Amino acid sequence: MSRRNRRVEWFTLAAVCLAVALVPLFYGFRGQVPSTVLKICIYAVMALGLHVVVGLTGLLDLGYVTFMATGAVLTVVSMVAVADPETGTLIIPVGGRSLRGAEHLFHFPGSYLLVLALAGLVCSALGVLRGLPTLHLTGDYYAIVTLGMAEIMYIWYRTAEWTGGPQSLWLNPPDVPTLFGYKLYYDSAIYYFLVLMVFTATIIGSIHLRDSRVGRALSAIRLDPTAAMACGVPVSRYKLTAFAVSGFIGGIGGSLFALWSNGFSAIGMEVWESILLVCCLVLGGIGSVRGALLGSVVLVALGEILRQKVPHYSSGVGLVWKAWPPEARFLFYGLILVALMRFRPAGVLPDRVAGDPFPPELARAWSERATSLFRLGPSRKEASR
Amino acid sequence: MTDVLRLENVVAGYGRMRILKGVSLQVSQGELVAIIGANGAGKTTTLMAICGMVPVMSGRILFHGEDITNLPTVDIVRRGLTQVPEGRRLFSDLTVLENLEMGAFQRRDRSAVEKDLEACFQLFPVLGERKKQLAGSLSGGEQQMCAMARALVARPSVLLLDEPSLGLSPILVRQIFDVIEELNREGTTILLVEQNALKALQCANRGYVMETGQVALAGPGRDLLEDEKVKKAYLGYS
Repeated sequence: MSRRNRRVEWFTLAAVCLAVALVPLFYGFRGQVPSTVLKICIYAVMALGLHVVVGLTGLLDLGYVTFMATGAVLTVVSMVAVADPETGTLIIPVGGRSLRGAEHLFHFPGSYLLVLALAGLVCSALGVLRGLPTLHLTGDYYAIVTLGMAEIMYIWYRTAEWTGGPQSLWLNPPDVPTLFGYKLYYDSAIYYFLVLMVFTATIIGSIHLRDSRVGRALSAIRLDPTAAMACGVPVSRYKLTAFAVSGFIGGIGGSLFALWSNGFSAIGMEVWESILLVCCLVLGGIGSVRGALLGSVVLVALGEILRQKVPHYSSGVGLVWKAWPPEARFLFYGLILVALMRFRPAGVLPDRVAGDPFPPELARAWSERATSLFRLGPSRKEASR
Repeated sequence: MTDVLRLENVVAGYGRMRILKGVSLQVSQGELVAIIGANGAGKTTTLMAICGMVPVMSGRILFHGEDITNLPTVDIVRRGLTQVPEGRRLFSDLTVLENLEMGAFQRRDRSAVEKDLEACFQLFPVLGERKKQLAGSLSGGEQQMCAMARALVARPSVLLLDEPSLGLSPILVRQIFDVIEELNREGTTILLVEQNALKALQCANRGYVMETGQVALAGPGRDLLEDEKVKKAYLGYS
């Protein structure tokens, strides 16, 4: 990328972060808008984590939800865990019941930062562990194995006792972690700015990683592993590094997500979340940081908008206000992806097009093609022949 | 003259299949050595075995007297053996400059790398003009030059070239061979694998003819060109 484009990129991303910071000025910290903005930021963080493996290293990871779930469950479990007042053993109160007089084990000043780091590190280790047996897999095979591993983890979390199993683990007010003396409620200012900080840090980190020696080496592995090896890139080591970084970011995103959803429910950690994150990357353009952001904004916001009640026509009653079923959003995701493949197969904001990042002649060709789709009769090009 | 690279009875292959059935050859300092032979004779496998990309089952490979048999490719590259793989294998989505920087991946001396990049652009002016262009958008000849430049910025003491003339027009083949000879004159030791036997033997100091995984014939390039068997089998005389 040329120096000018890089400056444009930094400017755009700074504007995005600033916009997120300014939202509370208009909407406060409570309510639909800030909550959606937070969800977008958390999903963007996770999408950028996935981007390290999918976008840079070029391996399709369909099991990223594992990191999200692990980060979330570690956070919630450590926050709700109490010591039994009589026996002193560790208890995880499942199903929202609380024990009177029990003491929280992991509540001490700054403990949330520790939990956040722990979630990241555990997921990082998980990423390496998952990567070791799959080091020599590429393409569909890697995708299938990650999908299968995520399903195993999902079933474990859904049936294990310590995660609450099929029930939800709620963060009751006494369980909510504290940071600098403030409770990190999902609608608190401190939580909002914590997410904003992680979001900003992830963006900066992603750009630096892409432009670094390591990022270049990962790109080389994506484009041609054999040639990368011939250039002296230790391919296995760099792949494991990518898995570790990706897992770390996923764990942090999962931890923040647990606070956002005020608890953990294994049922919500199905394979769809992985697919949604992959879709975020595909929509924006695989390999592009701006693209990952755009994808999360569009898809997460769309999911939230579809939760709103819309007028339905019901026979005999007339118009009633009803929400779409939650699965309806996948219908729209599907439509968006089909349209994307038809009109912009490289994504909306791809990182690299041959030559200029967005050449004017390409833009002209696109608009020409788009208008010709809706025109009846021969296109201008065909007519002139 | 001292041997820089020496293969002693190397047997290598994929899985249980043996491709090389005891190959011995040596390359001395400053030499340009060519390996010619028919398809499937084991020329490329020889280079892959040297680079540690194909497992060696028996025999030894010595580089500057040190045994490098079956070392990881990364360590072999670090010792100064660089391969220009068959079919260029550029990083198509990286720019020309980024491709060359990947070639210098193991080097930490930034300022010297800058100087070597400049030297590469002197040697291949067309790459200098297109350094911001994506490597995948170069023509075949330019891609070959880019692949050679990428190997050169690693500052190899021995350069392994696999089929540099593959798929190039006669004019470009001549250009590429001019560059190879120039590099060799400047002191780079080169081991060249070629289908274009005439071109390869004309510029090589010495040549090896491979047949079904073994060295069938060896000798100075000019002598091989005169050899009746070589003439008949590889140069198209009847």
